Amino acid sequence: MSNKIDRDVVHHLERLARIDLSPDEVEMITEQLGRIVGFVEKLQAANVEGIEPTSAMSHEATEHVRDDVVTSSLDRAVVLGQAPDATQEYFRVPRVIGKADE
Amino acid sequence: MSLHELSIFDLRRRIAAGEVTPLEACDAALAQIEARDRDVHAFLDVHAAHARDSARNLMASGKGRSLPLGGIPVAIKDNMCVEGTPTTCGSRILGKYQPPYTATAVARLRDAGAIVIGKTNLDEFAMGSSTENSAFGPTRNPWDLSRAPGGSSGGSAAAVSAGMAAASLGSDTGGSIRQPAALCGVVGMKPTYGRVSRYGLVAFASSLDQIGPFARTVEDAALVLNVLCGKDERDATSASTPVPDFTAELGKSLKGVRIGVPWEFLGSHVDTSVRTAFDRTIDAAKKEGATVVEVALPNADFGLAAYYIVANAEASANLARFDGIRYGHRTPKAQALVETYSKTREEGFGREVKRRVLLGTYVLSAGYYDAYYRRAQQVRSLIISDFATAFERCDVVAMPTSPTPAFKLGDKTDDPILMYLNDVFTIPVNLAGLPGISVPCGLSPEALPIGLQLIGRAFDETTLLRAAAGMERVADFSRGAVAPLPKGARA
Repeated sequence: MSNKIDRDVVHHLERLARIDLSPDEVEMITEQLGRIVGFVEKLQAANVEGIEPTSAMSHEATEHVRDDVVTSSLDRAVVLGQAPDATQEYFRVPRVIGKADE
Repeated sequence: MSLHELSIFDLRRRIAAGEVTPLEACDAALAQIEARDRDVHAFLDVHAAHARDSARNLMASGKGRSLPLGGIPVAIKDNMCVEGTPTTCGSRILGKYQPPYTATAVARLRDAGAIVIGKTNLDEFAMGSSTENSAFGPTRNPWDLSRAPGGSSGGSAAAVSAGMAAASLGSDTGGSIRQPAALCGVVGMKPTYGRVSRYGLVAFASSLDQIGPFARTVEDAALVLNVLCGKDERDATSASTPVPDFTAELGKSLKGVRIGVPWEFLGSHVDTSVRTAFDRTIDAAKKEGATVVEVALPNADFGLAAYYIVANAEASANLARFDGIRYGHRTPKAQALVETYSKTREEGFGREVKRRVLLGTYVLSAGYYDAYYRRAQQVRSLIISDFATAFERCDVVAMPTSPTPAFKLGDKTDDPILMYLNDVFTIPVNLAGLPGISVPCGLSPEALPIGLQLIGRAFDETTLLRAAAGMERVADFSRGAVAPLPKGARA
Protein backbone atom coordinates (compact mmCIF):
# COMPACT_ATOMS: atom_id res chain seq x y z
CA MET A 1 0.00 0.00 0.00
CA SER A 2 1.41 3.35 -0.99
CA ASN A 3 0.65 6.32 1.25
CA LYS A 4 2.47 8.78 -0.92
CA ILE A 5 0.52 11.98 -1.44
CA ASP A 6 1.27 13.32 -4.89
CA ARG A 7 -0.56 15.67 -7.22
CA ASP A 8 -2.67 12.86 -8.68
CA VAL A 9 -3.90 11.88 -5.21
CA VAL A 10 -4.77 15.50 -4.44
CA HIS A 11 -6.64 15.86 -7.75
CA HIS A 12 -8.59 12.70 -6.87
CA LEU A 13 -9.41 14.13 -3.42
CA GLU A 14 -10.57 17.39 -5.03
CA ARG A 15 -13.13 15.40 -6.98
CA LEU A 16 -14.23 13.26 -4.03
CA ALA A 17 -14.59 16.27 -1.71
CA ARG A 18 -16.06 18.56 -4.38
CA ILE A 19 -13.49 21.27 -3.73
CA ASP A 20 -11.60 22.85 -6.63
CA LEU A 21 -8.08 23.97 -5.81
CA SER A 22 -5.96 26.57 -7.57
CA PRO A 23 -2.59 25.35 -8.94
CA ASP A 24 -0.83 27.06 -6.00
CA GLU A 25 -3.13 25.35 -3.53
CA VAL A 26 -2.50 21.97 -5.15
CA GLU A 27 1.26 22.42 -4.65
CA MET A 28 0.88 23.56 -1.07
CA ILE A 29 -1.67 20.96 -0.07
CA THR A 30 0.28 18.14 -1.70
CA GLU A 31 3.29 19.04 0.42
CA GLN A 32 1.32 19.61 3.64
CA LEU A 33 -0.95 16.57 3.35
CA GLY A 34 2.17 14.49 2.78
CA ARG A 35 3.64 15.75 6.03
CA ILE A 36 0.38 15.36 7.97
CA VAL A 37 -0.07 11.81 6.71
CA GLY A 38 3.56 11.15 7.70
CA PHE A 39 2.75 12.51 11.15
CA VAL A 40 -0.32 10.33 11.67
CA GLU A 41 1.70 7.30 10.54
CA LYS A 42 2.92 7.08 14.13
CA LEU A 43 -0.36 5.31 14.89
CA GLN A 44 1.12 2.24 13.24
CA ALA A 45 3.25 1.89 16.39
CA ALA A 46 0.20 1.51 18.66
CA ASN A 47 -0.66 -1.99 19.75
CA VAL A 48 -4.31 -2.30 18.76
CA GLU A 49 -4.57 -6.04 18.37
CA GLY A 50 -7.96 -7.26 19.55
CA ILE A 51 -9.09 -3.73 20.49
CA GLU A 52 -12.64 -2.76 19.51
CA PRO A 53 -12.88 0.60 17.72
CA THR A 54 -14.81 3.44 19.38
CA SER A 55 -16.90 4.94 16.63
CA ALA A 56 -19.39 6.96 18.66
CA MET A 57 -19.38 8.40 22.11
CA SER A 58 -22.40 7.71 24.25
CA HIS A 59 -22.83 7.50 27.96
CA GLU A 60 -26.54 6.73 27.73
CA ALA A 61 -27.62 3.36 29.09
CA THR A 62 -30.52 3.03 26.66
CA GLU A 63 -31.44 4.53 23.33
CA HIS A 64 -33.93 7.27 23.82
CA VAL A 65 -36.74 7.81 21.34
CA ARG A 66 -38.77 11.00 21.38
CA ASP A 67 -42.53 10.76 21.86
CA ASP A 68 -44.29 10.43 18.52
CA VAL A 69 -46.18 13.70 18.50
CA VAL A 70 -46.51 16.30 15.79
CA THR A 71 -44.67 19.53 16.53
CA SER A 72 -44.22 22.63 14.44
CA SER A 73 -41.26 22.87 12.07
CA LEU A 74 -39.49 25.82 10.52
CA ASP A 75 -41.49 28.12 8.27
CA ARG A 76 -40.88 27.20 4.64
CA ALA A 77 -40.74 30.76 3.34
CA VAL A 78 -38.20 31.70 6.00
CA VAL A 79 -36.01 28.71 5.16
CA LEU A 80 -36.20 29.28 1.41
CA GLY A 81 -35.45 32.93 2.07
CA GLN A 82 -31.89 31.89 2.99
CA ALA A 83 -31.30 30.08 -0.32
CA PRO A 84 -29.12 31.65 -3.03
CA ASP A 85 -31.87 30.69 -5.48
CA ALA A 86 -35.39 29.45 -4.83
CA THR A 87 -38.69 29.30 -6.61
CA GLN A 88 -42.02 29.17 -4.79
CA GLU A 89 -41.73 25.94 -2.79
CA TYR A 90 -38.33 24.71 -3.96
CA PHE A 91 -34.59 25.30 -3.88
CA ARG A 92 -33.48 25.96 -7.43
CA VAL A 93 -30.20 24.45 -8.68
CA PRO A 94 -28.26 24.71 -11.94
CA ARG A 95 -28.95 21.99 -14.47
CA VAL A 96 -27.75 18.53 -13.47
CA ILE A 97 -27.21 16.77 -16.82
CA GLY A 98 -26.50 17.82 -20.35
CA LYS A 99 -24.94 21.01 -21.58
CA ALA A 100 -25.04 24.11 -19.51
CA ASP A 101 -27.01 26.16 -22.05
CA GLU A 102 -30.16 27.77 -20.73
CA MET B 1 -14.21 48.02 40.96
CA SER B 2 -16.04 48.85 37.71
CA LEU B 3 -19.12 46.86 36.75
CA HIS B 4 -17.42 45.15 33.80
CA GLU B 5 -14.79 43.73 36.15
CA LEU B 6 -17.26 42.07 38.52
CA SER B 7 -17.67 38.32 38.64
CA ILE B 8 -21.07 36.91 37.75
CA PHE B 9 -21.52 36.04 41.42
CA ASP B 10 -20.90 39.63 42.58
CA LEU B 11 -22.83 41.20 39.73
CA ARG B 12 -25.80 38.94 40.45
CA ARG B 13 -25.72 39.88 44.13
CA ARG B 14 -25.90 43.56 43.24
CA ILE B 15 -28.60 43.12 40.62
CA ALA B 16 -30.69 40.97 42.98
CA ALA B 17 -30.34 43.64 45.67
CA GLY B 18 -31.47 46.32 43.23
CA GLU B 19 -28.13 48.18 43.47
CA VAL B 20 -27.35 47.63 39.79
CA THR B 21 -29.81 47.29 36.91
CA PRO B 22 -29.46 44.85 33.99
CA LEU B 23 -29.19 47.87 31.68
CA GLU B 24 -26.24 49.23 33.66
CA ALA B 25 -24.53 45.84 33.53
CA CYS B 26 -25.21 45.60 29.79
CA ASP B 27 -23.97 49.15 29.12
CA ALA B 28 -20.78 48.51 31.11
CA ALA B 29 -19.98 45.55 28.86
CA LEU B 30 -20.83 47.53 25.70
CA ALA B 31 -18.61 50.41 26.87
CA GLN B 32 -15.76 48.00 27.43
CA ILE B 33 -16.26 46.60 23.91
CA GLU B 34 -16.12 50.18 22.63
CA ALA B 35 -12.89 50.78 24.57
CA ARG B 36 -10.97 47.58 23.89
CA ASP B 37 -12.34 45.71 20.92
CA ARG B 38 -10.74 47.94 18.28
CA ASP B 39 -7.47 46.37 19.44
CA VAL B 40 -8.63 42.90 20.41
CA HIS B 41 -11.23 42.12 17.70
CA ALA B 42 -13.01 39.53 19.81
CA PHE B 43 -16.41 40.30 18.27
CA LEU B 44 -17.69 39.68 14.76
CA ASP B 45 -21.05 41.24 15.55
CA VAL B 46 -22.22 43.30 18.52
CA HIS B 47 -25.95 43.17 19.23
CA ALA B 48 -26.03 46.46 21.13
CA ALA B 49 -29.60 47.54 20.44
CA HIS B 50 -31.07 44.11 20.98
CA ALA B 51 -29.03 43.63 24.17
CA ARG B 52 -30.27 46.91 25.61
CA ASP B 53 -33.86 46.00 24.71
CA SER B 54 -33.45 42.68 26.49
CA ALA B 55 -32.06 44.47 29.54
CA ARG B 56 -35.03 46.84 29.60
CA ASN B 57 -37.46 43.93 29.28
CA LEU B 58 -35.82 42.20 32.23
CA MET B 59 -36.27 45.37 34.25
CA ALA B 60 -39.89 45.88 33.16
CA SER B 61 -40.86 42.32 34.06
CA GLY B 62 -38.90 42.40 37.31
CA LYS B 63 -37.31 39.07 36.34
CA GLY B 64 -33.84 40.53 36.06
CA ARG B 65 -33.52 40.49 39.83
CA SER B 66 -34.63 36.91 40.39
CA LEU B 67 -33.42 34.84 37.44
CA PRO B 68 -30.14 32.93 38.00
CA LEU B 69 -28.26 34.89 35.31
CA GLY B 70 -30.56 37.93 35.25
CA GLY B 71 -28.77 40.88 33.63
CA ILE B 72 -25.48 39.05 32.98
CA PRO B 73 -23.89 40.07 29.65
CA VAL B 74 -22.71 37.03 27.69
CA ALA B 75 -21.00 36.54 24.32
CA ILE B 76 -21.55 33.61 21.95
CA LYS B 77 -19.04 31.93 19.66
CA ASP B 78 -20.18 32.54 16.11
CA ASN B 79 -20.74 28.88 15.32
CA MET B 80 -23.91 28.84 17.42
CA CYS B 81 -27.17 30.02 15.94
CA VAL B 82 -29.03 33.04 17.27
CA GLU B 83 -32.24 33.57 15.30
CA GLY B 84 -32.36 36.62 13.11
CA THR B 85 -28.68 37.55 13.37
CA PRO B 86 -25.79 36.45 11.15
CA THR B 87 -23.92 33.23 11.98
CA THR B 88 -20.69 33.04 10.03
CA CYS B 89 -18.55 30.29 11.61
CA GLY B 90 -15.66 32.59 10.68
CA SER B 91 -16.19 31.52 7.06
CA ARG B 92 -17.06 33.22 3.80
CA ILE B 93 -19.12 30.24 2.70
CA LEU B 94 -22.03 31.14 4.97
CA GLY B 95 -22.39 34.49 3.25
CA LYS B 96 -25.21 36.50 4.79
CA TYR B 97 -26.81 33.45 6.44
CA GLN B 98 -29.19 34.25 9.28
CA PRO B 99 -30.37 31.09 11.03
CA PRO B 100 -34.14 30.77 11.45
CA TYR B 101 -33.71 29.24 14.91
CA THR B 102 -31.66 29.62 18.11
CA ALA B 103 -29.25 27.09 19.61
CA THR B 104 -30.55 25.40 22.75
CA ALA B 105 -27.50 26.46 24.77
CA VAL B 106 -28.14 30.10 23.87
CA ALA B 107 -31.88 29.79 24.55
CA ARG B 108 -31.12 28.35 28.00
CA LEU B 109 -28.87 31.29 28.82
CA ARG B 110 -31.56 33.71 27.71
CA ASP B 111 -34.27 31.88 29.65
CA ALA B 112 -32.04 32.30 32.71
CA GLY B 113 -31.94 36.05 32.16
CA ALA B 114 -28.54 36.38 30.47
CA ILE B 115 -28.18 39.13 27.86
CA VAL B 116 -26.53 38.13 24.58
CA ILE B 117 -24.32 41.08 23.63
CA GLY B 118 -22.74 39.66 20.50
CA LYS B 119 -21.05 36.93 18.50
CA THR B 120 -17.36 36.18 18.81
CA ASN B 121 -14.55 35.40 16.40
CA LEU B 122 -13.23 31.90 15.81
CA ASP B 123 -11.05 29.83 13.54
CA GLU B 124 -13.14 28.98 10.48
CA PHE B 125 -15.56 26.19 11.46
CA ALA B 126 -13.64 25.92 14.76
CA MET B 127 -10.63 24.47 12.95
CA GLY B 128 -7.53 25.93 14.51
CA SER B 129 -5.72 26.84 17.71
CA SER B 130 -5.08 30.56 17.26
CA THR B 131 -8.20 32.22 15.75
CA GLU B 132 -5.96 33.21 12.84
CA ASN B 133 -8.00 30.99 10.51
CA SER B 134 -10.99 33.33 10.71
CA ALA B 135 -12.00 34.74 7.33
CA PHE B 136 -12.58 38.05 9.13
CA GLY B 137 -9.11 38.59 10.57
CA PRO B 138 -7.49 37.35 13.77
CA THR B 139 -8.39 38.14 17.36
CA ARG B 140 -5.53 39.51 19.46
CA ASN B 141 -4.63 38.38 22.96
CA PRO B 142 -5.83 41.04 25.45
CA TRP B 143 -2.66 40.50 27.54
CA ASP B 144 -0.31 41.16 24.62
CA LEU B 145 -1.71 42.40 21.32
CA SER B 146 1.15 40.90 19.31
CA ARG B 147 0.10 37.41 20.40
CA ALA B 148 -2.70 34.98 19.55
CA PRO B 149 -5.53 34.36 22.01
CA GLY B 150 -5.50 30.65 21.20
CA GLY B 151 -8.39 28.98 19.47
CA SER B 152 -10.61 28.06 18.07
CA SER B 153 -12.84 29.94 20.55
CA GLY B 154 -10.33 32.81 20.75
CA GLY B 155 -12.95 35.55 20.52
CA SER B 156 -15.00 34.14 23.39
CA ALA B 157 -11.89 33.77 25.57
CA ALA B 158 -10.62 37.26 24.75
CA ALA B 159 -14.05 38.84 25.36
CA VAL B 160 -14.19 37.50 28.92
CA SER B 161 -10.51 38.18 29.54
CA ALA B 162 -10.85 41.85 28.56
CA GLY B 163 -14.04 42.36 30.60
CA MET B 164 -16.22 42.75 27.49
CA ALA B 165 -18.53 39.99 28.77
CA ALA B 166 -18.93 38.31 32.14
CA ALA B 167 -19.14 34.91 30.49
CA SER B 168 -19.21 33.43 27.02
CA LEU B 169 -19.87 30.20 25.20
CA GLY B 170 -17.32 28.26 23.21
CA SER B 171 -17.20 24.87 21.59
CA ASP B 172 -14.43 22.35 22.26
CA THR B 173 -13.60 19.57 19.82
CA GLY B 174 -9.91 19.12 20.68
CA GLY B 175 -9.23 21.89 23.18
CA SER B 176 -10.97 24.88 21.60
CA ILE B 177 -12.32 26.14 24.95
CA ARG B 178 -9.54 25.12 27.34
CA GLN B 179 -6.52 26.20 25.28
CA PRO B 180 -7.71 29.80 24.59
CA ALA B 181 -8.86 30.03 28.23
CA ALA B 182 -5.29 29.19 29.28
CA LEU B 183 -3.71 31.65 26.84
CA CYS B 184 -6.09 34.47 27.86
CA GLY B 185 -5.98 33.90 31.64
CA VAL B 186 -9.62 32.87 32.15
CA VAL B 187 -11.49 29.74 33.20
CA GLY B 188 -12.74 27.55 30.34
CA MET B 189 -14.61 24.31 30.68
CA LYS B 190 -15.53 21.45 28.39
CA PRO B 191 -18.27 19.45 30.11
CA THR B 192 -18.71 15.69 29.66
CA TYR B 193 -19.71 14.69 26.12
CA GLY B 194 -23.50 14.87 26.06
CA ARG B 195 -23.94 17.26 29.00
CA VAL B 196 -24.91 20.25 26.87
CA SER B 197 -27.23 20.13 23.87
CA ARG B 198 -25.57 20.86 20.55
CA TYR B 199 -28.77 21.77 18.74
CA GLY B 200 -27.91 24.91 16.81
CA LEU B 201 -24.14 24.40 17.04
CA VAL B 202 -22.65 24.05 13.56
CA ALA B 203 -21.11 20.56 13.64
CA PHE B 204 -17.37 20.00 13.19
CA ALA B 205 -16.71 16.48 14.56
CA SER B 206 -19.86 15.03 16.04
CA SER B 207 -18.28 12.40 18.30
CA LEU B 208 -16.06 15.08 19.90
CA ASP B 209 -17.82 18.49 19.85
CA GLN B 210 -19.08 19.90 23.13
CA ILE B 211 -20.31 23.37 24.15
CA GLY B 212 -19.04 24.92 27.36
CA PRO B 213 -18.54 28.19 29.26
CA PHE B 214 -15.76 30.75 29.68
CA ALA B 215 -15.79 32.87 32.84
CA ARG B 216 -13.25 34.62 35.02
CA THR B 217 -13.76 32.37 38.05
CA VAL B 218 -14.54 28.69 38.58
CA GLU B 219 -17.63 29.65 40.54
CA ASP B 220 -18.91 31.72 37.60
CA ALA B 221 -18.28 28.82 35.21
CA ALA B 222 -20.31 26.58 37.55
CA LEU B 223 -23.15 29.12 37.62
CA VAL B 224 -23.31 29.14 33.81
CA LEU B 225 -22.99 25.36 33.65
CA ASN B 226 -25.98 25.01 35.98
CA VAL B 227 -28.09 26.66 33.30
CA LEU B 228 -26.55 24.99 30.22
CA CYS B 229 -26.73 21.30 31.09
CA GLY B 230 -29.52 18.80 30.59
CA LYS B 231 -31.39 16.64 28.12
CA ASP B 232 -32.71 18.29 24.96
CA GLU B 233 -35.18 16.43 22.77
CA ARG B 234 -33.62 18.16 19.76
CA ASP B 235 -30.19 16.60 20.32
CA ALA B 236 -30.25 12.80 20.50
CA THR B 237 -26.70 12.80 21.91
CA SER B 238 -27.60 15.00 24.89
CA ALA B 239 -27.52 13.07 28.16
CA SER B 240 -30.46 12.47 30.49
CA THR B 241 -28.12 12.24 33.50
CA PRO B 242 -29.50 14.43 36.32
CA VAL B 243 -27.94 17.88 36.62
CA PRO B 244 -26.82 18.75 40.16
CA ASP B 245 -26.02 22.22 41.53
CA PHE B 246 -22.44 22.52 40.34
CA THR B 247 -21.61 25.19 42.92
CA ALA B 248 -22.47 22.89 45.84
CA GLU B 249 -18.96 21.71 46.70
CA LEU B 250 -16.87 24.67 45.58
CA GLY B 251 -16.18 25.82 49.12
CA LYS B 252 -14.63 22.51 50.21
CA SER B 253 -10.87 22.37 50.68
CA LEU B 254 -8.55 20.17 48.63
CA LYS B 255 -8.06 17.94 51.67
CA GLY B 256 -8.45 14.32 50.61
CA VAL B 257 -8.69 15.08 46.87
CA ARG B 258 -6.44 12.71 44.93
CA ILE B 259 -4.76 14.43 41.99
CA GLY B 260 -3.18 12.19 39.37
CA VAL B 261 -0.33 13.59 37.28
CA PRO B 262 0.95 11.76 34.19
CA TRP B 263 4.55 12.98 34.67
CA GLU B 264 5.92 10.80 31.91
CA PHE B 265 3.48 12.18 29.30
CA LEU B 266 4.32 15.76 30.32
CA GLY B 267 8.04 15.05 30.00
CA SER B 268 8.99 16.10 26.53
CA HIS B 269 6.21 18.48 25.60
CA VAL B 270 6.26 21.39 28.04
CA ASP B 271 7.84 24.86 27.97
CA THR B 272 9.86 25.72 31.11
CA SER B 273 7.63 28.61 32.19
CA VAL B 274 4.54 26.39 31.96
CA ARG B 275 6.24 23.56 33.84
CA THR B 276 7.36 25.91 36.62
CA ALA B 277 3.85 27.31 37.16
CA PHE B 278 2.34 23.82 36.97
CA ASP B 279 4.76 22.31 39.52
CA ARG B 280 4.32 25.25 41.88
CA THR B 281 0.52 24.93 41.80
CA ILE B 282 0.62 21.16 42.35
CA ASP B 283 2.92 21.74 45.36
CA ALA B 284 0.53 24.36 46.73
CA ALA B 285 -2.36 21.91 46.34
CA LYS B 286 -0.39 19.37 48.37
CA LYS B 287 0.03 21.94 51.14
CA GLU B 288 -3.76 22.35 51.23
CA GLY B 289 -4.12 18.63 51.82
CA ALA B 290 -4.46 17.17 48.31
CA THR B 291 -2.75 13.84 47.62
CA VAL B 292 -0.69 13.77 44.45
CA VAL B 293 -0.17 10.41 42.75
CA GLU B 294 1.56 9.50 39.52
CA VAL B 295 -0.68 8.03 36.82
CA ALA B 296 0.20 6.60 33.42
CA LEU B 297 -1.49 7.48 30.14
CA PRO B 298 0.64 5.25 27.92
CA ASN B 299 -1.42 5.85 24.78
CA ALA B 300 -1.92 9.60 25.19
CA ASP B 301 1.04 10.24 22.90
CA PHE B 302 -1.01 8.75 20.05
CA GLY B 303 -3.90 11.11 20.80
CA LEU B 304 -2.92 13.86 18.41
CA ALA B 305 -2.55 11.52 15.44
CA ALA B 306 -5.79 9.67 16.25
CA TYR B 307 -7.59 12.98 16.64
CA TYR B 308 -6.54 14.38 13.27
CA ILE B 309 -7.91 11.26 11.61
CA VAL B 310 -11.18 10.96 13.55
CA ALA B 311 -11.98 14.69 13.69
CA ASN B 312 -11.22 15.35 10.04
CA ALA B 313 -13.02 12.25 8.82
CA GLU B 314 -16.13 13.47 10.64
CA ALA B 315 -15.55 17.04 9.43
CA SER B 316 -15.34 15.94 5.80
CA ALA B 317 -18.85 14.49 6.16
CA ASN B 318 -20.29 17.33 8.27
CA LEU B 319 -19.03 20.06 5.95
CA ALA B 320 -20.55 18.40 2.89
CA ARG B 321 -23.70 20.42 3.60
CA PHE B 322 -21.98 23.66 2.57
CA ASP B 323 -22.57 23.36 -1.13
CA GLY B 324 -24.17 26.63 -2.18
CA ILE B 325 -27.68 25.25 -2.57
CA ARG B 326 -29.71 25.88 0.58
CA TYR B 327 -27.97 28.82 2.24
CA GLY B 328 -24.88 30.96 2.17
CA HIS B 329 -22.55 31.71 -0.71
CA ARG B 330 -23.06 30.30 -4.23
CA THR B 331 -20.46 30.82 -6.92
CA PRO B 332 -21.61 32.96 -9.83
CA LYS B 333 -19.04 31.21 -12.05
CA ALA B 334 -20.57 27.77 -12.56
CA GLN B 335 -23.20 26.59 -15.02
CA ALA B 336 -23.75 22.97 -14.00
CA LEU B 337 -24.52 21.41 -10.62
CA VAL B 338 -21.30 19.61 -9.70
CA GLU B 339 -19.26 22.58 -10.83
CA THR B 340 -21.45 24.74 -8.57
CA TYR B 341 -20.50 22.63 -5.56
CA SER B 342 -16.79 22.53 -6.36
CA LYS B 343 -16.40 26.22 -7.16
CA THR B 344 -18.60 27.37 -4.27
CA ARG B 345 -16.44 25.35 -1.89
CA GLU B 346 -13.23 26.60 -3.52
CA GLU B 347 -14.34 30.21 -3.05
CA GLY B 348 -16.01 29.77 0.33
CA PHE B 349 -13.57 27.68 2.36
CA GLY B 350 -10.24 28.91 3.71
CA ARG B 351 -6.98 27.02 3.56
CA GLU B 352 -7.14 25.11 6.84
CA VAL B 353 -10.69 23.93 6.18
CA LYS B 354 -9.72 22.70 2.71
CA ARG B 355 -6.69 20.92 4.16
CA ARG B 356 -8.77 19.18 6.79
CA VAL B 357 -11.67 18.21 4.57
CA LEU B 358 -9.20 16.75 2.06
CA LEU B 359 -7.35 14.86 4.81
CA GLY B 360 -10.65 13.52 6.13
CA THR B 361 -11.63 12.48 2.63
CA TYR B 362 -8.29 10.74 2.19
CA VAL B 363 -8.46 8.69 5.40
CA LEU B 364 -11.99 7.54 4.58
CA SER B 365 -11.25 6.73 0.94
CA ALA B 366 -11.06 3.24 -0.51
CA GLY B 367 -7.96 1.31 0.57
CA TYR B 368 -7.05 3.55 3.49
CA TYR B 369 -10.04 3.18 5.82
CA ASP B 370 -8.60 0.31 7.90
CA ALA B 371 -5.06 1.69 8.02
CA TYR B 372 -6.15 5.09 9.30
CA TYR B 373 -9.74 5.50 10.41
CA ARG B 374 -10.32 2.12 12.03
CA ARG B 375 -6.90 2.17 13.67
CA ALA B 376 -7.51 5.67 15.04
CA GLN B 377 -10.79 4.49 16.55
CA GLN B 378 -8.99 1.58 18.17
CA VAL B 379 -6.42 3.97 19.63
CA ARG B 380 -9.34 5.99 20.92
CA SER B 381 -10.51 2.90 22.84
CA LEU B 382 -7.01 2.55 24.31
CA ILE B 383 -7.04 6.16 25.50
CA ILE B 384 -10.47 5.70 27.08
CA SER B 385 -9.15 2.71 29.00
CA ASP B 386 -5.96 4.60 30.03
CA PHE B 387 -8.15 7.20 31.74
CA ALA B 388 -10.35 4.54 33.34
CA THR B 389 -7.24 2.96 34.85
CA ALA B 390 -5.95 6.36 36.03
CA PHE B 391 -9.26 7.13 37.76
CA GLU B 392 -8.89 3.98 39.87
CA ARG B 393 -6.09 5.84 41.64
CA CYS B 394 -7.23 9.45 41.59
CA ASP B 395 -10.26 11.77 41.52
CA VAL B 396 -8.95 14.20 38.90
CA VAL B 397 -6.04 14.17 36.46
CA ALA B 398 -3.89 17.32 36.22
CA MET B 399 -1.83 18.48 33.25
CA PRO B 400 -0.85 21.81 31.78
CA THR B 401 -3.58 23.00 29.41
CA SER B 402 -1.18 24.10 26.69
CA PRO B 403 2.55 23.39 26.32
CA THR B 404 3.38 27.10 25.92
CA PRO B 405 1.93 30.49 26.88
CA ALA B 406 0.44 32.64 24.10
CA PHE B 407 2.58 32.64 20.95
CA LYS B 408 3.11 35.48 18.47
CA LEU B 409 0.53 35.96 15.72
CA GLY B 410 1.88 34.46 12.51
CA ASP B 411 4.44 32.26 14.27
CA LYS B 412 2.78 28.94 13.50
CA THR B 413 0.54 29.70 10.54
CA ASP B 414 2.93 28.19 7.98
CA ASP B 415 3.32 24.88 9.76
CA PRO B 416 0.07 23.02 10.44
CA ILE B 417 1.73 20.29 12.51
CA LEU B 418 3.45 22.81 14.80
CA MET B 419 0.04 24.44 15.31
CA TYR B 420 -1.59 21.06 16.06
CA LEU B 421 0.95 20.41 18.86
CA ASN B 422 -0.78 23.13 20.90
CA ASP B 423 -3.51 20.63 21.63
CA VAL B 424 -1.44 17.67 22.76
CA PHE B 425 -2.82 17.82 26.34
CA THR B 426 -6.42 18.73 25.55
CA ILE B 427 -7.15 16.28 22.71
CA PRO B 428 -7.06 13.02 24.73
CA VAL B 429 -9.91 14.42 26.87
CA ASN B 430 -12.22 14.83 23.85
CA LEU B 431 -11.29 11.40 22.54
CA ALA B 432 -12.38 9.96 25.91
CA GLY B 433 -15.51 12.15 26.19
CA LEU B 434 -14.49 13.38 29.66
CA PRO B 435 -15.01 16.78 31.30
CA GLY B 436 -11.98 19.09 31.46
CA ILE B 437 -11.37 22.58 32.77
CA SER B 438 -8.56 25.09 32.44
CA VAL B 439 -7.80 27.37 35.40
CA PRO B 440 -5.23 30.19 35.37
CA CYS B 441 -2.30 29.09 37.54
CA GLY B 442 0.38 31.73 37.08
CA LEU B 443 2.20 34.13 34.78
CA SER B 444 5.23 33.52 32.60
CA PRO B 445 8.33 35.76 32.89
CA GLU B 446 6.79 37.84 30.01
CA ALA B 447 3.62 38.28 32.13
CA LEU B 448 1.54 35.93 29.98
CA PRO B 449 -1.08 33.76 31.68
CA ILE B 450 -0.56 30.02 32.09
CA GLY B 451 -3.37 27.48 32.45
CA LEU B 452 -3.64 24.30 34.46
CA GLN B 453 -6.00 21.63 33.17
CA LEU B 454 -7.98 19.27 35.36
CA ILE B 455 -9.82 16.28 33.92
CA GLY B 456 -12.64 14.46 35.70
CA ARG B 457 -14.66 11.29 35.47
CA ALA B 458 -17.59 11.33 33.05
CA PHE B 459 -20.50 13.30 34.55
CA ASP B 460 -18.58 14.06 37.74
CA GLU B 461 -18.26 17.78 37.07
CA THR B 462 -19.01 18.37 40.76
CA THR B 463 -15.70 16.85 41.89
CA LEU B 464 -13.89 18.43 38.95
CA LEU B 465 -15.18 21.92 39.80
CA ARG B 466 -14.42 21.48 43.51
CA ALA B 467 -10.82 20.58 42.64
CA ALA B 468 -10.64 23.44 40.12
CA ALA B 469 -11.86 25.95 42.72
CA GLY B 470 -9.17 24.62 45.05
CA MET B 471 -6.48 25.10 42.41
CA GLU B 472 -7.75 28.59 41.75
CA ARG B 473 -7.42 29.36 45.47
CA VAL B 474 -3.83 28.14 45.79
CA ALA B 475 -2.58 29.34 42.37
CA ASP B 476 -0.31 32.36 42.00
CA PHE B 477 -2.79 34.31 39.87
CA SER B 478 -5.13 37.14 40.79
CA ARG B 479 -8.50 35.36 40.85
CA GLY B 480 -11.08 36.79 38.45
CA ALA B 481 -8.75 39.47 37.06
CA VAL B 482 -9.52 41.29 33.82
CA ALA B 483 -6.47 41.40 31.52
CA PRO B 484 -4.50 44.60 32.23
CA LEU B 485 -4.22 47.08 29.36
CA PRO B 486 -1.18 46.01 27.35
CA LYS B 487 1.47 48.22 25.80
CA GLY B 488 0.36 49.60 22.45
CA ALA B 489 -3.35 49.51 23.34
CA ARG B 490 -5.33 52.37 21.88
CA ALA B 491 -7.71 52.68 24.81
